[in-house]
Amino acid sequence: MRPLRHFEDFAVGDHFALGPHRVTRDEIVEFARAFDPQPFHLDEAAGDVSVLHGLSASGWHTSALLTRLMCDAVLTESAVLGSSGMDEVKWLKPVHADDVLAGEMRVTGVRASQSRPGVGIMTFVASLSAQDVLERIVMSGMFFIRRRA
Amino acid sequence: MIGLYLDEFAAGQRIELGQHVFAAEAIKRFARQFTPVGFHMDADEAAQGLFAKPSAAGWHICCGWMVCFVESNSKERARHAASGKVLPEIGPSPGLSALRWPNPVYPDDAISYGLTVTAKRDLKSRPNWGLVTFLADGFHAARGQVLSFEGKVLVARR
Repeated sequence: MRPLRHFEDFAVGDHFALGPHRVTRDEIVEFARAFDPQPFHLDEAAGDVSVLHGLSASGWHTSALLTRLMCDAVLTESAVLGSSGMDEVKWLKPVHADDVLAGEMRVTGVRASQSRPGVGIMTFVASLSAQDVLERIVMSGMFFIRRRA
Repeated sequence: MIGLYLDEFAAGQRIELGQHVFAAEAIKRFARQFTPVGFHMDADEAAQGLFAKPSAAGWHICCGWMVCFVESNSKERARHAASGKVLPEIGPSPGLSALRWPNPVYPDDAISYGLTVTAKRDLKSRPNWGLVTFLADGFHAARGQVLSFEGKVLVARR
């Protein structure tokens, strides 16, 4: 097991590659059935006539996938303690089945938490594009990271 | 959304979306799939972190809101379909901002979700649609607010 990455190990400009992850039709539909059962997330025919042009993933799904890819790239091997929120999430273009998502997470700020001793705040911006190089999602937000004792 | 066309929306409208209960197994399943970090899944790791026990992923708390949002709209559409009136489906969303998870959601918590409309405007690029912006929220009876975000959604014109 690699040593745990703490707050002190993050610096502005650090960047981490995300993905690639191929989105399947089944995972789009499974997520939509559970959390966002709108016709254009469940059914090709409904997707085709929608403004999203084809069966597309829920924006919540794309957001959760981006978070999973950040976990795989860096967070699961970090002393991450959670997040109080995200400043902005843009769903720029629909994510369709067989899109291969890849991108980057970049550290934009590091500061001590005023209210929680022993905890630092890391701010970031992360994005995913598909094989056509067009961005699908951009997210900026924060994570609480434990400081070294 | 919520069975309303663009002209029926007005700033200040409050819409209650109903409740979603977070089962322990659902919290674990979501975390395993999307946020596989110890404090969401393991009692010992959670106890050493910011929360007392395993809590729902923030995106899971958002998904609870979405479940209630879609269900409210479906119920409203079904209710009116009986009398032959066709209500609009929900349109897509370009994103959100100021997303906050001010308090944790624990197993068996029931969260009450809602939204307050803040503005609406026409969309030059899409003559059949307008954009409605709103403040979304989720509350736990004892722990208070667990979710807020500024949402946007395309709404059909009549």
